[in-house]
Amino acid sequence: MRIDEHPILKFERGKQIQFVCDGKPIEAFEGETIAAALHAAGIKTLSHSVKEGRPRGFFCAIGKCSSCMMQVNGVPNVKTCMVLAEQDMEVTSQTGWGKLGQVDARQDYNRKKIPVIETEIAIVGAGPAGLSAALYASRFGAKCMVFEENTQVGGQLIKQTHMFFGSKDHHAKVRGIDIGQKLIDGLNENVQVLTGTPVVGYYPDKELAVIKDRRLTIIKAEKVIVATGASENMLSFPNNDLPGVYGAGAVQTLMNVSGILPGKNMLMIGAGNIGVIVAYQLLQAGVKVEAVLEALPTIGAYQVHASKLRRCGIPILTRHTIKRAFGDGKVEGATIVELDDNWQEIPGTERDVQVDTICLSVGLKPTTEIFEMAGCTMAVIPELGGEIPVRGHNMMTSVDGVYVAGDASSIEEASSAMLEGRMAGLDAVEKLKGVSEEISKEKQHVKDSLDELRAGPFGEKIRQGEAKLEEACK
Amino acid sequence: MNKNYDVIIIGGGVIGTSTGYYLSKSGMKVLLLEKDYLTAGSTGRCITGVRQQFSTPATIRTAMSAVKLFENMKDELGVDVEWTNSGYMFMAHDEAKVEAFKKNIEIQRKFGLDVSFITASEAKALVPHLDTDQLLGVAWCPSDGQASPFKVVLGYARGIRDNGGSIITRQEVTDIIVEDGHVKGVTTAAGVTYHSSRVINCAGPWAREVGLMAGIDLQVEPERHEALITDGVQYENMPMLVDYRADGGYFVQRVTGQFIGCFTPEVQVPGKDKSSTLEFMKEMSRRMCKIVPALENVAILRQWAGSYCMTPDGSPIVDETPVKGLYCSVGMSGHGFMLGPALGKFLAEYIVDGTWPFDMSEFAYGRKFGDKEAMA
Ligand SMILES: Cc1cc2nc3c(=O)[nH]c(=O)nc-3n(C[C@H](O)[C@H](O)[C@H](O)COP(=O)(O)OP(=O)(O)OC[C@H]3O[C@@H](n4cnc5c(N)ncnc54)[C@H](O)[C@@H]3O)c2cc1C
Ligand SMILES: Cc1cc2nc3c(=O)[nH]c(=O)nc-3n(C[C@H](O)[C@H](O)[C@H](O)COP(=O)(O)OP(=O)(O)OC[C@H]3O[C@@H](n4cnc5c(N)ncnc54)[C@H](O)[C@@H]3O)c2cc1C
Ligand code: FES
Repeated sequence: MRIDEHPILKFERGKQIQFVCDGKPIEAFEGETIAAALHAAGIKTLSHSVKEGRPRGFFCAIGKCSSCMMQVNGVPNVKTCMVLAEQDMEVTSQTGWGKLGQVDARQDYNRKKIPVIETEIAIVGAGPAGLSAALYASRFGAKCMVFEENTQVGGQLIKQTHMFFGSKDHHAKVRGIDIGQKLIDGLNENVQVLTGTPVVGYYPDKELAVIKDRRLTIIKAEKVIVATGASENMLSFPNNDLPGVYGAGAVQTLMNVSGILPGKNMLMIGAGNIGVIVAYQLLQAGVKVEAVLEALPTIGAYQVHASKLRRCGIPILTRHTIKRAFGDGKVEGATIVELDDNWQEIPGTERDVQVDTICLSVGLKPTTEIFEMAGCTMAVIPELGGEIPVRGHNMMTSVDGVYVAGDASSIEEASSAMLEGRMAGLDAVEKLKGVSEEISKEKQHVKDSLDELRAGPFGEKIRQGEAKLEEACK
Repeated sequence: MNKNYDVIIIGGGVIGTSTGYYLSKSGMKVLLLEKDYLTAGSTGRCITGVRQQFSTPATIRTAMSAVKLFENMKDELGVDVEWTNSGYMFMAHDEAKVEAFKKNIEIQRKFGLDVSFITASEAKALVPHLDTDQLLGVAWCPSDGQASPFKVVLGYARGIRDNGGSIITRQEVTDIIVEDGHVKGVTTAAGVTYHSSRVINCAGPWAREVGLMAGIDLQVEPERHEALITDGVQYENMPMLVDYRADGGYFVQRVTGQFIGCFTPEVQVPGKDKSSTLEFMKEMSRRMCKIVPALENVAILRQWAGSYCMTPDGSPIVDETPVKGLYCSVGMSGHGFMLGPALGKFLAEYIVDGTWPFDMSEFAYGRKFGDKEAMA
């Protein structure tokens, strides 16, 4: 199920390698995650759940849901969507938890030193927000370290093959994948980006616990910018855990980053921008999209995206939802149903569709654990995606020197994520190196750009959210 | 609303709920007031261990009674509290510890406890992952175990309600009403007064503040302890491993797969600060790997902090106070979860019948605090 031809993307695959999964040899390419390689080999069931032993595939593909955990080279509970396949690796599927393996040699735990690294600005997350923060803070002389838990930098951008809207300043007409590369190319020697390096804890006085080369390392920073993005929402319906039910972002990752098709035919739930764009991308990659369901009476996505899909003959069914998924050990189909004005299912309107993939695109939730550990004041603002840290115009949270940017601060878009990251980076470097006319001018420009971006009718929800946030600041 | 009760309990941890359960079972109309949520205090922060290896008669007997109660809890409360006889191993890495453990075992055996001192290789046979470097032997009691504090409290709380009692959470008691040396009731932060001629202080680390509301100055101090829990791995029946060396610690594999543990800091940290430190995470993970090297490959899930409520001698104070009708069941000194079910039952029986099951003067209010519990 590897994609060989694609209208936009060219997949440059690495060296061919082989590893073993449950005793069977698996062909893979260097640079591919274990989960992706297994998918390409047609293996969708990666584990069985702890309590009921139900089959589980992967859902998020970016390390947030834990449904892809397998035993890898004796190490239990490895999230295989985040670990690259290696020659001769031994991978075992888990039923429930993995096994406590034997360790080869006993280390000297009496004298074990934990490495400490100092930096001026620590940035968590190498998505558009984090990278922009690094770009601008480093430009004005700050030493930055960017920690990214996934194997690639760019965050959600690396999977976005469509062209962006907006003004030139916001990278309009550029494809998401290229924006990411642009940001990375712009980084100077003041920035160090570490991939496969999750930040797992925040401690007082800006100490971060990170896992580097599978070991704990301590980072001491003067400023911390948290740009951890968001995780996809789940929808509750019977059998929503069957292998073959994915988040839209996961499908994108599989398809656009790894060049692997998630399935042959699919049902998309949610007709917001993401749902509609991903459905179109699936179509481009050769997947048969049966329908896009939307519970609301109207389509949330921009008109252009929706029309593109319709022109290809894909129905977008408003006032429809999924009632259940079915299948023996994997998705074989779904029952869909029409809704009335009160969101109630209309009896008799149920019908089955035969699909091997169900894709959920029902919203995102900011990833906020680090703010809670840091003791940031939080506020629940539905317009901005739910619970978020309270912050000022300079993106600083209630904890001095701790910043937020991007989807972690409000579910918006890459353009605003980049501006917010830029603002956080500028404010942090200003506080470190002193106020300069140049930085002040930059900050004003960013503020104006954000206002401009949020000015139109599509920005209304965000503006309402921002107003609530301002209230919360008082 | 009628605000008269047979007994009012302050605190919704294991002590408050177990005591409330047994009182309600005997027909009393119980009101339990909790300032936060049930298990918000030490109970929800403990590392789930239940042992009987103590050094003084009343503690050993209370703990042994508690184990019997844990064994039957599923039937008694209708809740599976995850009770498992996973045992406790106290590790001796020097001769002094060997001697001390052997001496305690003699006392414990007098009360019929199935405890023995086994060699390092016997321990290794029971726990293949154990590192036995410098280990001289362990005090091993296979009938010790573990249970889920959340499920235990859930079971007792349901029991209280089923028996006609009331539990009100987010209700902080701010005053205890005393007239002519007799307790009359309590007042809460919401300004509500509840009446009763019996009030029990089960406020854990807050016990001293609560006692002072009635002019009773209990000799208890909160002491900070941090803990952590790992990701799960398949259950291998590993007992609570207790290493009392200066850089030791104690941890157990939960039946649900995770390893949970803590250590006692060399310098005691007073107070109720709930923040977590990097230092603890670093140290605890190192200490755990030292004892079970295979843990090297297991991720830490989360860490937290809570407080022990310490008495000078490490034994609880379970008694009536000089204020008539005001009881206390406090100063659990780090063993409240394991002793909780039995102490709840004993105090309830004392309040109803006026008798203790055996000599409980070790836990008396106003006793002279002598030597510390040797296995504290
Ligand atoms: C299908 C789709 C289409 C979109 N189309 C558009 C569009 O047309 N125009 C537009 O402007 N926007 C679009 N967006 C939105 C845009 O992609 C996001 O708003 C943007 O990527 C958010 O950037 P971010 O840096 O905040 O988060 P992310 O891009 O999510 O990056 C966060 C990064 O942080 C890392 N991370 C998280 N936690 C940790 C941790 N503890 N330690 C280390 N690393 C961590 C993550 O791995 C990730 O790489 C689209 C999004 C999707 C899903
Ligand atoms: C890290 C750690 C590990 C531990 N491990 C173990 C172990 O393995 N085994 C074991 O047996 N013990 C262990 N303990 C000790 C055990 O947790 C305690 O001894 C036990 O939970 C005490 O229970 P309690 O009901 O007395 O107190 P708590 O659980 O603290 O309950 C007291 C309650 O009273 C409430 N309260 C206080 N003041 C008021 C007020 N004014 N009004 C209303 N409500 C009030 C509090 O909110 C609290 O919920 C551990 C403790 C810690 C911190
Ligand atoms: S964590 Fe790997 S699929 Fe979600």
